[in-house]
Amino acid sequence: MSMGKLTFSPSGKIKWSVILLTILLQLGGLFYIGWRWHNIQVDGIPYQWQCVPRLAHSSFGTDYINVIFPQDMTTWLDDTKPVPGSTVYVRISRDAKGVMEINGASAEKPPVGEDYMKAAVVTVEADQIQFRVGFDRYHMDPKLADGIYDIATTDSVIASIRMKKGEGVIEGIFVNGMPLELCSANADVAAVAQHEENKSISQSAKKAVIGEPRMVPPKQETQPSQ
Amino acid sequence: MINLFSRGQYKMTKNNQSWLEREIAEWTSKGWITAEGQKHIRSKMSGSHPKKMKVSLPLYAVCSVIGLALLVVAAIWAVAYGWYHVDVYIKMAISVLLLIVSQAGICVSIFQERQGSFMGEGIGLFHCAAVFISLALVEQAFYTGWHISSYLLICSLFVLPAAYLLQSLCTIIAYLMIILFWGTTPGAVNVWGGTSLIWLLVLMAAPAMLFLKQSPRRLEIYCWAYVVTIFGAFWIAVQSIEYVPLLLFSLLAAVVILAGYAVPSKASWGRALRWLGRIALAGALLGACVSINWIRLTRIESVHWLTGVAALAGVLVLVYLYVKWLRKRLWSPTVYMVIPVVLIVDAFFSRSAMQPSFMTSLSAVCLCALGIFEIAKGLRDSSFYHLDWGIILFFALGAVQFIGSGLSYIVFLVAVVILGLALLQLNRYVRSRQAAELRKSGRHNRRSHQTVTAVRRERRAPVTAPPAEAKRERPEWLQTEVEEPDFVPPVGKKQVHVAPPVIPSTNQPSEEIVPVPQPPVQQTVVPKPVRLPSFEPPVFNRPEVTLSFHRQEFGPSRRKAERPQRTQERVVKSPWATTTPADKREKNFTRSPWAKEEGNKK
Repeated sequence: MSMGKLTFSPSGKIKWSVILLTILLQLGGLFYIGWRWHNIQVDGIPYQWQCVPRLAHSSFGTDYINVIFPQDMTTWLDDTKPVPGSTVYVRISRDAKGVMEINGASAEKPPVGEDYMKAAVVTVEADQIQFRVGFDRYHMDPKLADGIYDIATTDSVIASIRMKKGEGVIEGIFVNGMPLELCSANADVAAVAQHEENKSISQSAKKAVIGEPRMVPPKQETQPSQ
Repeated sequence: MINLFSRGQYKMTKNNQSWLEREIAEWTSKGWITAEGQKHIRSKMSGSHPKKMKVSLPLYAVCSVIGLALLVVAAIWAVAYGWYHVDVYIKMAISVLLLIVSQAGICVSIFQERQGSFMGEGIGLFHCAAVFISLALVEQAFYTGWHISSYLLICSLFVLPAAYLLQSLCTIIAYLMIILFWGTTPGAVNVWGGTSLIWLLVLMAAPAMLFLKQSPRRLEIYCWAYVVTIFGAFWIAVQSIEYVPLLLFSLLAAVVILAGYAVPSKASWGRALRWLGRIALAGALLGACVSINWIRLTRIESVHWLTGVAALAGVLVLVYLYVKWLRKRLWSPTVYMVIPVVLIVDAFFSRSAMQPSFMTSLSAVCLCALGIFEIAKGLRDSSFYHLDWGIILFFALGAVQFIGSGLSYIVFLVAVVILGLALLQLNRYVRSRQAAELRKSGRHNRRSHQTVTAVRRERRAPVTAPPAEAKRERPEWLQTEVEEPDFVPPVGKKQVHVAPPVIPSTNQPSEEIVPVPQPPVQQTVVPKPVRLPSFEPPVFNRPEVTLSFHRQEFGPSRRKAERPQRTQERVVKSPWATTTPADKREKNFTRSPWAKEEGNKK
């Protein structure tokens, strides 16, 4: 057996074309990932879903917290059972308050008009499957993450999510209607810093202010008790 | 442990080498050695020194590496502290910039035609790192979910073009490693294409052989990495099967080993194929010694037609390769080709509801025979590799039998110790035998056993016909093609005529001993022509006589001729011959300072 006179020496034109194509593909891949995230935030359908935030640990620190969604079981709609680790499509809808409702999962995408989210199968039990969604991180300032310690079991913790084509981005986490950042012990300092930052931005923008600066909205009149 | 003295040793070696380089150039200019001889000497010098350079590890280099690593860790900590406050678009700009720098490096390397060079390898690795970092950075900043399998898949596809453009071996190996790592991640085999995708990815690295064949060393490394990847991909692909497909694996390994024997034995990359094929085939046979594998095969109710067809096709391919590819009928591939046949028989009996103990016993007997064959081959050819491989086979068989027997671990430890001692003793025996052979052939410490007189006598002796061992004593560059030592079967259609063994028990196969036409003897060192000195010492004893100069040779005859003349002309005048008395010297007595002792007492 011999390789004969086979060689690998493409001509210059082909070589530079391959280089150009490689560069375009690599840079295009990076820009696509950024565009996808931005597109979901702008065009995605908003949902609210119950969640449990957890601190993330790393040797070099993290700028995010892990988010666990307790509602991770649903009915399997197909006949063939899925393999753990495979990607499935979980059908979702929203009620009048905007809270997410899960309507089962299948191996195929639901028909047009029905929203869904991509998920990985964790376990399969009878006609129920446990799944895990991809958007399980929420980016926040590590100094303000200590508010997680003050969350009680009776508190209502809701994640505000934007969904588009099965992908999701967590916009915020609210504990009893209040952002998680404001539950921190350093929230006052952060609020002052944020206020100063906003003030400087507004001064630099020199926006026209309508009305008196001391003007306050009228108080809501209370109904006299009978 | 850092060898601090190695630096000085390396420096001394380097000085000696530079001195030798200068001397070789001078000898060549003077015509003492031919240009070819100069080339051979230089190639031998370059081959002997890098081994020493590998050992040396300067202290300052180690300190620099440690310091640089600490600086990098500190920098990462500093960046991570304020990473949240960095805008996402700045993060995107950083990753894009890193990727563009690596792409520019590729362009520069191609523009300067540095493909396949050290610079090309470095830029290829840098590009790999840039792709990994950039993609991870962007995925984390614009987070919609983290899938390690998709991340590795995209990285591998991004890295592959650079490997071909730069003709970089390191990048190809990195690509193969990424594929294997990707295959082990959860959910990798569930993507589009299923298990066939991993084969497609492995095949995409195969054309790299075309640009690596120019360098045998690089090609050998590539072959090792590629065959390991093939076996790894096979085991990843069969994870979803209910049983271990030992038969398919053995057929794949048999194709590899036949390919290794089909390539010219001078090609070093064939060795990788041969050894990996041996290891895989022995592993398949070892797996057949475990009864659970056959029990699983028996439990299958339906018939796996695809597996059966694949096995049949594999057998046909093997027969074709054995007939067409193999240039010589050697024992080793023949013996290893028996293993797939044994596994076919085992599988047939297993599907016939035979007791698993029959299959395991048959496989164990075959493995024992294989071990005996390898040990015999190692002892015959004084080959450590085959000897150790045979002992390892016995050791592995014992381990497999022990695991299934439920004996105490003390028995296992004792067996390991005994086998280890046997291994050491056999190694010593083979070494001593090798040394004895070398002594017998006169290559081992040849000069230490001979006196100066014997060497001179040998040099003065008239040049006679080259002895039978001349082929072995010739330098490496004069030798003809060297085949791998192996037995030759006694029967066969294409049996090669075996000449009577001239050199008993050497590394050369018996069929290589067939006398080959001797190439013309190349004279590396040209003797310097004798130039007689034109200088003659003048004699000034009698200046009035004009001396007539005659050309005389240096040596004892000239001295003998001069000696009587000098004795005649020598002026004999002893200083004691005269009788004239010498002049009287005036005596000046000196007085000691203590001579006035009495005066001091006063």
